[in-house]
Amino acid sequence: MGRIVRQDKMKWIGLFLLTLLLIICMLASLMFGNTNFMLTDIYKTLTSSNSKDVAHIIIWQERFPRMVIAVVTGASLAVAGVISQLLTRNPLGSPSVLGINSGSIFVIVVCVVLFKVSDLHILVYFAFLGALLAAFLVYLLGSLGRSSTSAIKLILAGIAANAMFVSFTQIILLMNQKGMSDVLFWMAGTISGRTLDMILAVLPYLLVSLVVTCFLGRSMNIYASGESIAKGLGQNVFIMKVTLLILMVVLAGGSLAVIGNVGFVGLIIPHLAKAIVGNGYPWLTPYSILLGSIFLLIADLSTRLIHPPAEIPLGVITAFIGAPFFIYVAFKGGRARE
Amino acid sequence: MNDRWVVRTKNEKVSFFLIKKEVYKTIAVFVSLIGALLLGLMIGTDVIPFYEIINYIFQLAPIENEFALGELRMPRVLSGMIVGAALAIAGLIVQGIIRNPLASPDVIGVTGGASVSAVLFLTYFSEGMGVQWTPIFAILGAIITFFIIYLFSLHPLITANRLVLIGVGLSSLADAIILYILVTSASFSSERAYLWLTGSLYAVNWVQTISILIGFFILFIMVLWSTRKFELYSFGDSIAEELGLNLKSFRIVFLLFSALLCGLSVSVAGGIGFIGLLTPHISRRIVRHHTSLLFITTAGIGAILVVLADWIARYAFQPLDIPVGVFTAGIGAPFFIYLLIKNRNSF
Repeated sequence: MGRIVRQDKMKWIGLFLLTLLLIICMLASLMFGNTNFMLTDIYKTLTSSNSKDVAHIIIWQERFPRMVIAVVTGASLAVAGVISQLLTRNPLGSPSVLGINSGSIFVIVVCVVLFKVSDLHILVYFAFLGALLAAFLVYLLGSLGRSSTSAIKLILAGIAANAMFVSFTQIILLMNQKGMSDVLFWMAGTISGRTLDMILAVLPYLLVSLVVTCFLGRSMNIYASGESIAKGLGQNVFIMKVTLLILMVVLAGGSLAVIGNVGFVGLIIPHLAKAIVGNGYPWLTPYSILLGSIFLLIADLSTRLIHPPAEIPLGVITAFIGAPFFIYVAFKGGRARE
Repeated sequence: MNDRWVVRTKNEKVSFFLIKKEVYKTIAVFVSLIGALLLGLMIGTDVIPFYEIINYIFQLAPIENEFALGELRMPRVLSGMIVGAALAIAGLIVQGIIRNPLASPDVIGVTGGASVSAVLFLTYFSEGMGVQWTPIFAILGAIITFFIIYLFSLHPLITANRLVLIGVGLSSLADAIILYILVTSASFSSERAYLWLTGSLYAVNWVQTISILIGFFILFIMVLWSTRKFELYSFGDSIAEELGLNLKSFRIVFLLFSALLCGLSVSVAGGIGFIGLLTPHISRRIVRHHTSLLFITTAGIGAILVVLADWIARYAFQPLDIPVGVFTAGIGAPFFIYLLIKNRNSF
């Protein structure tokens, strides 16, 4: 018994350290960019009433929204990854790999370009719808056949769904080139130029989903031990599955509505969190939240710092890290199986 | 045995048989290819009558639409034909080697690797060296990617399916690299690059057409020359080895063929997806017994598909010229889903 308590203590300490790291990254996100500010500058802009000051405008109009968005969407994407890896029982099953990102973008593009919807409060629901559509399609395709859902089948289904949604999106865009500029940022994936309004439109959904997932930890543990065992332990597996699916769709779709096609966060972070705290979901979810936020803050910071003055799309940075990681997981899985 | 022809040379050095039905079907494929070519040549923004095309090809009489036919449509349709044939054969080879019906150069990232290399060249070196070197770099990129995948495949515990997954990872890495290059370089017009990357036959010229035409035919003859080995390989590793096939060198040589074909087509048309995946499935239904004939039919069907797809993409959405790659993905992805359903019990 004593040992578990000691481990739990370590996990609390880890949580505390990560929170510290998160705060440092948040401050760095406010400080660095094309113009760098000191901590004292930030403090000054907070206390001074002069809101016309350049530093004030840059920090609070531009960097602060970016920071908030990176924290919230990073956490959401990471947890969406945790859930989808659990749902698909597949270490590669993250939303972007399964084509959920491109499904969401397809529906958003249809709404913006064909039906001229521009209100983000409405678009959020369509982002959810698109995510749900893609999730269903991929899950359906992946679970066909005698053998249960295998890794390769799901991933290939994801590729197919991805290719289909991307090409439909491109056809719509090519046929309505005027709409192109309205939706291009969704396709490239970036936090730059987003306002606080945009994150406020999705914030309630994301926060509620994150909190709910944190509280579901024990049930997720039971579900993770296999459906028949979970049934034996008295869990309503169907309701659990639906709940997890809804949470994943809301988290992935909601983030997507704000920052566009940013992939691989949901693939990397759960693995990282598992490496630190192991497989228990009550710990895994909070760790993923913190790690996801930190990861996206650092990634967003590097979009500004790597190649100034050009700003690299966030999706490119995450893919640079995520794609080799994907290969690594696929390779490792190949070794573990035999 | 009158459903087949037996072909023998006098000293019996070469002897094989052809199933009549399959030969007829192959001929039908090539008749359709001619039909597709004519369609692509004749019908566009304005219609060029058949006799004018004959006049132009055989230089019988000067024609009215010489520019539209000779400079715009001819190179486009012909290079579409070669690109389709090259991609289809590359796909057939990859599916055969990895023994996975869902593999193709674009799925396992080879097209992406070729595109990365071509974009790198176009962005940083083309001004000094000239654009005509693009194919060399595209082919180099394809070879490097194949080499990486091959290195992975040497690991004894890596299965064919895992190999496809690794290719998927490589593919998204390639996408990210391309986007990075496009964003950070000022010299390269991103709109044109975007068009090229999605796979377009827009503004293909005669120089490109002739060069891939020659390259393709050399490669095609070499592939046909070694179809016997391909047949042996399809019996499975152990049987093939017993029959005297050197598995390692066979894989390297054929993957190299595939990389070269893929690089050729990328250098002209960018990444046209799903042709390499789709075509072998169609052609295997037509030809089952004779491997050389299978290669020939695959080339024919790939050519038909790209020529037709490009014609629809160019003609059906007028005045827009939709990149053919977008169109093939729109058709190819549902077909891919169909294949997944059909092969659902084999993974």
